[in-house]
Amino acid sequence: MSRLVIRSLRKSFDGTDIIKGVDLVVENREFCVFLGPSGCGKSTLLRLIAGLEDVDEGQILLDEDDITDLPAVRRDLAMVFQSYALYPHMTVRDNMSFALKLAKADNATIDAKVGKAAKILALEPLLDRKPAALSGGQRQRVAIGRAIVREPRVFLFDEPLSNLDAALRVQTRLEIARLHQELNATMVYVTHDQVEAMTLADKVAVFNEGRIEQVGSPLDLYRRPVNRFVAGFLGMPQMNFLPLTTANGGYTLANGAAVALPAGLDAGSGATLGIRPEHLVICEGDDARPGVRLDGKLTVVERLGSETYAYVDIPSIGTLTVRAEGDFERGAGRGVCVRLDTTHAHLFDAKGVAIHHP
Amino acid sequence: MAKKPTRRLARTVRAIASWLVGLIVFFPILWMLLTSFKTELDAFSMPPHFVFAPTLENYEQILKRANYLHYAWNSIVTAGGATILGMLVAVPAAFAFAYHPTLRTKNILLWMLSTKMLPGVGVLVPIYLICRDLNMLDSRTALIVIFALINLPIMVWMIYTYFRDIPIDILEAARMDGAGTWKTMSRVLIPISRGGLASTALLCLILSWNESFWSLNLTTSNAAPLSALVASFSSPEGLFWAKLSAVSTLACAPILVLGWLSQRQLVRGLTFGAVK
Repeated sequence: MSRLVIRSLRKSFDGTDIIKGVDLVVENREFCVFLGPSGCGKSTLLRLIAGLEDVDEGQILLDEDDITDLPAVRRDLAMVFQSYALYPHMTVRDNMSFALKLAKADNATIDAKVGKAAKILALEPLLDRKPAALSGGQRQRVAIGRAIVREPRVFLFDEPLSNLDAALRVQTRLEIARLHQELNATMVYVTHDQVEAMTLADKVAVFNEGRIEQVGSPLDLYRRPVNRFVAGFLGMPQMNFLPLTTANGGYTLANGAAVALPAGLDAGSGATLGIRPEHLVICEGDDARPGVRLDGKLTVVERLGSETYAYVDIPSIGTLTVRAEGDFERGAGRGVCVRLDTTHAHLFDAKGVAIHHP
Repeated sequence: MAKKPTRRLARTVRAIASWLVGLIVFFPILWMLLTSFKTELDAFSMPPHFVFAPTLENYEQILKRANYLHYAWNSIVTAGGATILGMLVAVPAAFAFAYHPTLRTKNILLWMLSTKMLPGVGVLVPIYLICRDLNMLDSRTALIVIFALINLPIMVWMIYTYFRDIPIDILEAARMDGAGTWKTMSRVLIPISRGGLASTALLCLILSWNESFWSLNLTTSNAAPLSALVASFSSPEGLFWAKLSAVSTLACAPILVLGWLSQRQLVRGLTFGAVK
């Protein structure tokens, strides 16, 4: 059992608040991802959990144990660093057995555990090499192996994939997912990459400026973001935001087009409508599909093969991003219209808090 | 292909220049060595002789007149002792400066270095008096402490620089692996930086070995190291160049050999494979 509970945690460095009161529960065997832009405090929170930084206020509980003031050495957590942080003077085998040797495990146990981890990670042929003789992906696998061997109560990952190239990143991501199923361990994973968060997590905590904005399953966050920040941070390309103005008891967009909101909904003044690129449709000429029709011009067309991102400039509204099919043929410069179906729209009030989801 | 002769010429010029610089740097030592095998008359002759009948007379006389081994032993004990003492203080100090810096760390480091700007003679009287009152005049212990202290700023700076090059992630990984401060230092930090630590220790050894100001002022015979022996040959009766060269050769031979043997260790930098 390893259930991690964080209670009203605070941390500041030189008078600057980095963690401004965070509460979070990571259930046993859960894969929890801390997601957020750089400088949002997600790595600091991980380091507080690890014991590499001292907590100013609040509590960290591991099962029933209060580990808030326990030194890192005695927390029995394993961390995988972004820089791998392998011991350069030791072989792969020694890197992986270092913790066990410190814990005075006997040689047979060490050999068995290192052998097992090496097998899981396909590191067996590399055991007698030094880190300098390994590729980036191999080094990261050794770093993961070093954590596995320990059989820690919780695995902590600090942006483990960001130093790898794109292909290797996908491969290692799959490996970590497989590892989580195989080891059945509690894992906390920090990243700024929403794809990693969406694909790996059981639970995502979205961070912004030292606070958790929302916690939930990846799809839950995608479908029901609690505010504009989460809505904008999750999703590639980003959600489109259109400011609304109140007029004659109804709502209009900046270009004057009237928008029908779901019945009985009062967004107040200064509200914003949010709609994801996949819910907008490019149209041309007479188009009878439902929704508000916005006329504009294609400025940029990004073709990814499987899909196309079209950027449409709408006068007095700005650029809208539309996801179209892979064989989208129209090119930049062409006049098109965009259909905005408000049944797919999110609504945010003047403070950015979500008041309606589709 | 047309470029090839020019390139070869450039390489030749570079080679000649390197040899020239090497020779200029090495020349005083070579000249000392040559002079030590000359008679006093040859040593004085002008223009100097490069070809002469070598003699071991100077060495014989020196070994007859003074107990070389006694001085050599003092040098070994004081320089070695100072190096060990210095390292024992400098490594933890550099560790603290490098990995647990405070707002004032930079200032403290600068202040430490600034003590090197004070000429030794400025504190001669107080240190002499302290040594006298502690009954430590002409004692090897006093020299060990003083050598260690005068080298400490440079040692701390050097080790601090080496430690700063080691990513803190590696030390944090060791902490996560269950290594306390002592184990982190002994099993991770020191092995990784052993090249840097070795060159620091060697530098301290050489500086202490060649130190003469404090050796001359604080010792007479009992604790006098080789540098004091060398000075005793520039006597008021006149300069004996040949004998002075011979004793100098004897004085720097051990450290020269040591430097030669450890030059690989000195030059080799440790490449880090662990961190991108």
